[in-house]
Formats: sequence, structure tokens, C-alpha cells
Amino acid sequence: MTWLPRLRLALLILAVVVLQTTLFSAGLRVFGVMPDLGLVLTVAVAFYLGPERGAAFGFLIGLAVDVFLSTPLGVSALSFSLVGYGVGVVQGGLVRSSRWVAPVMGALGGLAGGVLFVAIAALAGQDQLLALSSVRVILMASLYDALLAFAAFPIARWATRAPGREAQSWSGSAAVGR
Amino acid sequence: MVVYQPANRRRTILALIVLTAVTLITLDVRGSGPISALRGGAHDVVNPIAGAFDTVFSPVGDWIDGVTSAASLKDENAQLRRRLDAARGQEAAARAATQENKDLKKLLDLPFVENADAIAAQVVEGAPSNFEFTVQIGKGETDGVGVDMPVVTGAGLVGRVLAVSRDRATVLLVKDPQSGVGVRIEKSSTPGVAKGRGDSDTLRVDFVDPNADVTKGEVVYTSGQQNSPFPAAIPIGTVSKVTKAPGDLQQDVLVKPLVDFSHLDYVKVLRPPPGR
Repeated sequence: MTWLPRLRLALLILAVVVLQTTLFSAGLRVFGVMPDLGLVLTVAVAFYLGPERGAAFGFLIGLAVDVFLSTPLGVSALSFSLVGYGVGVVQGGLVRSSRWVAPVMGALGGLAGGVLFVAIAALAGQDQLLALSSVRVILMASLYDALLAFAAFPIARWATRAPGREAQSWSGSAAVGR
Repeated sequence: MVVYQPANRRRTILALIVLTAVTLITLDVRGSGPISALRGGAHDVVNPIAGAFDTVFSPVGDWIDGVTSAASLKDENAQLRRRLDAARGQEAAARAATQENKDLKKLLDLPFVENADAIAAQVVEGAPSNFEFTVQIGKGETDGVGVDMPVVTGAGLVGRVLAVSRDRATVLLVKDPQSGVGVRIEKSSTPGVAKGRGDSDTLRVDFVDPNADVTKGEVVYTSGQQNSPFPAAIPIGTVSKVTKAPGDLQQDVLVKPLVDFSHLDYVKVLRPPPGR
């Protein structure tokens, strides 16, 4: 990967942190639930860059988000990186893409990320998260994540594209990625 | 065509990431100083950008919030009108009660509440996660805000300061499941511990004596016991439900907080007097 996609991804991490701590934390909640921007973007980046880079990006963006949470530092980093790895592996096994790949990946990634976050946080001593309300939050957030994936996938495609090369399209008209 | 690296390299990278994350979690859980400093530093870097962004885009968020909660706002409006009528009638009685309260505080010697040095602060952000109930306030270390200081509004207890950076502080709301506050129930003075229930609009009071006479509508105050960050007599809420089953070791008491956490704009951080 050249310096330009790295720079774009770094700027995306900063943008996600700012959006998550301002706009989405305050007003853009639906029924009290906000999406996990970092997780959706991890899913999209892992889709284009594969498991290793997906996991690495998930780790970095998760760590950036963790700094602003009261849960132990590293919980989001670990859950996002596992989701990034998983999405990269699943993407490698996809026979064909369709326009539904983004929302489906967004929803499943959001679901897996939410479950992993709660499980890892509970193991780290935050057992108050093991509650029925967490199930509702995870389900609603994953639906929200699915909607946001429509925007996150084109952004990730643009960010991960090397200069002069076309990235793989998530809607089916595939070109070369990485 | 997507070409992947050998599977063992993939696993090595994943193992390294997992190991690093687990190390960070362990260090943070054990209370590592550098991690707290990292958090504070990151807040100081991002806060100015976030502040500028928030100023520009907060009307968009407010509009969407208004649209998604229109139905509940209508009900709330009607409820508030009814409350206003009732409040007018109670105003005169309240004036007399306030004077009586002041006299009683003097009598009980509660200097902390009387003389608390309060720092007014604006709520600038909500929690950046679905799994925690915190707010960011626009005052930090430079303004004298410190960890564990109680945070209140005119209505009652909001929570306590969880973390502080140079210009901002994170407040853990009493509704967060991590929060636990030593309380006393108004009439019987029964002690208990009020725990947050996250999404729910009530708090649960644990360890309430099963033989104590607790009734709906009673006010619940902070008990201000030794080592508690909260001074005594800060109102928290009113008892909304009491369930007592024969043979139980405690009563099931739910409390509706007096503070409206969905519309927190300004709060006060109580600074303890020197020597406390």
C-alpha cells in the first residue's frame, strides 16, 4: 500500500472519532441507539483489503475510539480487529458480489462486533453489560450499521484505492483491488 | 483478482494484534498511569476539532433528534403543563420548606452541602458508545475539576466525574450500570445502594432492609457515608415501585431520577472543601 491510501485511512480514523463523539453521540441516535461508525468502516476496509489489513485497520480505529470510552482501552480495538479479520476471510470466499453485500456485511459485522465488544468487556470486568438491554442495543445498532454501510463501502473503496488503480467494486462490477 | 498472503502469516498478524489488545486491556484494568495520560492527551487533541465541528453540525443532530422523538415530546409537553400547574400551587409551600431546610442543615451540621464550591459547566457531548451512559462537560483540570467530584443540577444528582483532561471532563451518570451511590430513603432513613440500569428510566436500590417501611413517592437522598464521593442530602429521585416478597433478604425498590438525563445542558461540579 502506498502513502496516499494510508493517509486517507488515517484521516478517516480522525473523521470517525470526531463524528462518533459529536454528531452521532448527541443527535443522530435512533430510539436512543447510535451506529458504530468505526466498526462499519472496518467492515468496508476489510472487504477491500483482506483479513490482515482489515484486522490492522480495525485495531487502529478501535483504539482511537477506545480512548474516548470508559471501558478498558483495547476492548473496541480487539473486537473491531476480529471483525475485520473475519470479514476479510469471508470476502475471500465470496463467489459473487451483489448490491446487497454492503448492507449484509454491515449488519453482520455490526452484530458480531457488538457481541464481541460486550463479551470482551465483560471478561475485562464490565459484567454490567451482560444484560437484556445489550441485546436490544446490538440488534438496533446492527440495523443502523447496515444502512450506513451503503455510504461506508464507497468511502472505503476510495480510501483504499492505490493511485492509478481501480479498487474492487462491492456491487459486482469487479476490478482490481489492493 | 485478490491475492492473499499465506495463512500462517495471517494468523501471526492476528495473534500479534490480539496479544497487543489484551496487554492494553490488562494494563488499563490495573490502572496504568501512561494509559490515563494517553486518554487525556487524545481528548486535548481532538476536543478543539470536535468542538468546531459540533458548533456547525449540532443543529442537524437536534433536528433529527426532534423528528425521531416527536411523539414522546408531545406527551412530555402535556405532562409538563400539568406539572407546571401543580408546581405553582406548591411554590408557596416550598418557600417555607426551604427556610426550614436551611435551619435543619445548620442543626445537622452538614457544612459540605452548605459551603460546597461549585463549578458551573456546560454539557458538550454525549457518550460515544451505546454501552455507557456518560456526558462530557466543558470544564477540566484547569478549572479545578477532579476525578470523583459529584455533579448535580438544580433537580438533583447527575453523577460523578470519571475522567478529566485539561479542558474537559467525563461524567458517569447515575443511570450507568457501573454507577453505585450510597443512599437513604426519606422517611425511614433506610440505607441502600442505588445502581444504574442503563436504558431503563429507573434506578434500583439494593440492600434495602426487608422490614423497613418504604412507600411510593418517598424521596431518595445520598447518604454521604464515609469514603463516598457524594456529600449527604443530595436528592436523587423518588421511589416509583416497591416489591416485597416474604422470605426475601431485601426489598426490590425502584427509583425514578429527578434529573432528566435526556436534556442535560448545564450542570454543577461540587468541589469538596479543603481537607476533605
